[in-house]
Amino acid sequence: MTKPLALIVEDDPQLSQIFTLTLCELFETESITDGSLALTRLLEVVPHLVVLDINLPGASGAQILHFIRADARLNTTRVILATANIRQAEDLQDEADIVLLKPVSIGQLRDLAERLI
Amino acid sequence: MEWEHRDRKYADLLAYAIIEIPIMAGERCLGVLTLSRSKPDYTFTAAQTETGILFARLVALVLDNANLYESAVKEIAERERAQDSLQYSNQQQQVINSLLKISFEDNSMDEMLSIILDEIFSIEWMTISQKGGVFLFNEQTNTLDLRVHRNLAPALEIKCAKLNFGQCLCGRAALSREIQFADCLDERHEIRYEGMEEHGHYNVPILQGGKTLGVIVLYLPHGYQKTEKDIAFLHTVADAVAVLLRRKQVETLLLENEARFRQIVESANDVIYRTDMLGNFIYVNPTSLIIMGYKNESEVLGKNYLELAAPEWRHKLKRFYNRQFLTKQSNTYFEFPAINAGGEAIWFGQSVQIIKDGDAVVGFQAVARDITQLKQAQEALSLSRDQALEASRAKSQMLSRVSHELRTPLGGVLGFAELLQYNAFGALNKKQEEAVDHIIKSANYLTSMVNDLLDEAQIESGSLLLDNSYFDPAELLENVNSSMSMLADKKNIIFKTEISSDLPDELYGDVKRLQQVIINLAGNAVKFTREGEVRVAFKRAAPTFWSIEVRDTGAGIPDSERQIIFEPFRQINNSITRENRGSGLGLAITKQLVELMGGQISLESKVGKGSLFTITMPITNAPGE
Repeated sequence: MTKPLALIVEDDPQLSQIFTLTLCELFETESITDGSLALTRLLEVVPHLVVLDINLPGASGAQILHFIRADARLNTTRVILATANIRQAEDLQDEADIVLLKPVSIGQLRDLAERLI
Repeated sequence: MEWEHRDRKYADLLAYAIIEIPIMAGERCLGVLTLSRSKPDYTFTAAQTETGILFARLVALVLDNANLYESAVKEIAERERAQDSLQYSNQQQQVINSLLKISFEDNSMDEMLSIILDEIFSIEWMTISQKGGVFLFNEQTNTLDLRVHRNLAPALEIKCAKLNFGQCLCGRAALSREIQFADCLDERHEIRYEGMEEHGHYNVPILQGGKTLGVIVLYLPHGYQKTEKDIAFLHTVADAVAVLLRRKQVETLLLENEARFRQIVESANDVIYRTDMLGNFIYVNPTSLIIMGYKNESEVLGKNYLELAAPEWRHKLKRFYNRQFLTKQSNTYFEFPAINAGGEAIWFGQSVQIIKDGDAVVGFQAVARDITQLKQAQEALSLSRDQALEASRAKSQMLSRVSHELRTPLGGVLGFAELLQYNAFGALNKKQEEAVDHIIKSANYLTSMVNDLLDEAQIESGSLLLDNSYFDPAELLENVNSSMSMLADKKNIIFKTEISSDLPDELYGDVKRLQQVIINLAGNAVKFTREGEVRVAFKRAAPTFWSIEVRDTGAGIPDSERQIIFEPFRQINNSITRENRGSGLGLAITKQLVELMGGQISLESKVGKGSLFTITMPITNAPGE
């Protein structure tokens, strides 16, 4: 059985690697460091989970979140928002499935991701 | 014609013929001319009779003339008398006129009394000596003081400088309120000196209403007899003098008052001026000139007040005072800059009263204070307040940025350490596990510190918004319990929670912030308690308040530290150990958050026994409910 797809959209390579390592047991992971590339990729795939940073080059995490929520094709896609900015986190908490404040606890992320499968 | 001796009166004359001719002056009979003859039998001839009649007419003529002279003399005497009384009344009139004239002159009191005295001495019909004086009643000393005199002996001048009521003729006149007359040096002359000459006196009291204002003392030649005319005249003079004195006293009082006010106005540190109804200066006090840098008031008088105001303020000023003029508002205050003679701006705070004549506004009077320094200080203050606000904003922004920038690398540290801990990179040996534990602990500590800093920055900049909603207090307490009990277990401390049954099932507020506050306090309590217990209780403090109590059996907080523990970045000296280190923001944030939510925090503590923090929160509903 193939693992569900998790898109990790994070421009910080270390964090991207940490998220990947955390989720790779449960998901097929794909990491993208640029917002506009993420949008392009979302036209092609329907990921089960998107771990989304907010401050991104190309397009912001908020734009990507709006895009996902506006596209009926992606209505099963779960979004975990990971941000260092509380204000942004509060603004987007209704649209995202889960908002995690950085630094994200690995254990917590894995628990949550597991529950979202 | 036969003549007989019929009358005995002619018998002695041995007259044989008698002729009696009436002496007629017009219709009046002045007498009878009698002609007689001693020769017997000899009668008067017709010619003789004729001569007799002629003679009688002559006599009549002479006698009539004599009558005329007498009446002429009488008439002259009468005329003289009339002239006398005319002179008297003329002089009296003249004296009164002179006194009246004095009242219009600008004399001092003594100058005026001097003139009065001279006027009295100038009267010709009263043969008084050119000697005398005027005493005035002195309210302070209750004496009659000699103010002016003419030709008084130096000894008397000294002895009579101050007299008591009833003393001497003068004092008697004052006391009896009647003219005292003496024709010689009688026993009433109580004050005497060696070589004093015989004399008489008129002592005339000057009366006004019920008061004795003074006494006019006039010397008379020895043996002088008083006359009704003198007395009547002296009364008139005394009355006129009384009016003059009263007037003078009122005038003096007015002058003194005016001088006092003038002195206040002229020595005031404030600008005081008056304008006419058009706003043109009609009076400026010396301070105005000094402050505005003018040398002479003529440089200012007649100018319009707007000319002295800063040009860009004239429009505003004009509108402001036009309105006062129209609404007749009695007093206004306005601040504006004026331009002084040197072209510098001076700020004034100006009170303006309107001057009314009846209902019409006839001008303005103003008291203005130089508030330039005050204005500068205000501006500096406002600038430094702006700067401080700006600095505070910048600081908050920076703190928020820094904490944000710290989170990302912290994520890296914590993330990799946790991955190591989960053996994501292979199994760890014991030492490696311990090292990873240390990394995770430090990273967590750093994270909480960053969170505190961010909270503090948000509270300080006022950008922290509360997210209020209805919540279940029991659920909140359960959350607190689940986050704290593990920590307490680790330290072998009992952690207990309790909730009063009378607490509402639902409360309104920011539950996340409340939880943060309670965990902050409870976390501290656990941190500083080595043994014993930590209790968190929710109670109904009053019908409209609920309270959160966090009680511990820890070290306690000394009195001297109670205030400072709520200040940011403060921790009690020596309380920081490796186990309980913190950012020092916890209690400051707690207090600020509690107050932001409308509550209050208080502390009871005994060193060595423990502490009790009590938060009291109002029980409220959502707005509009």
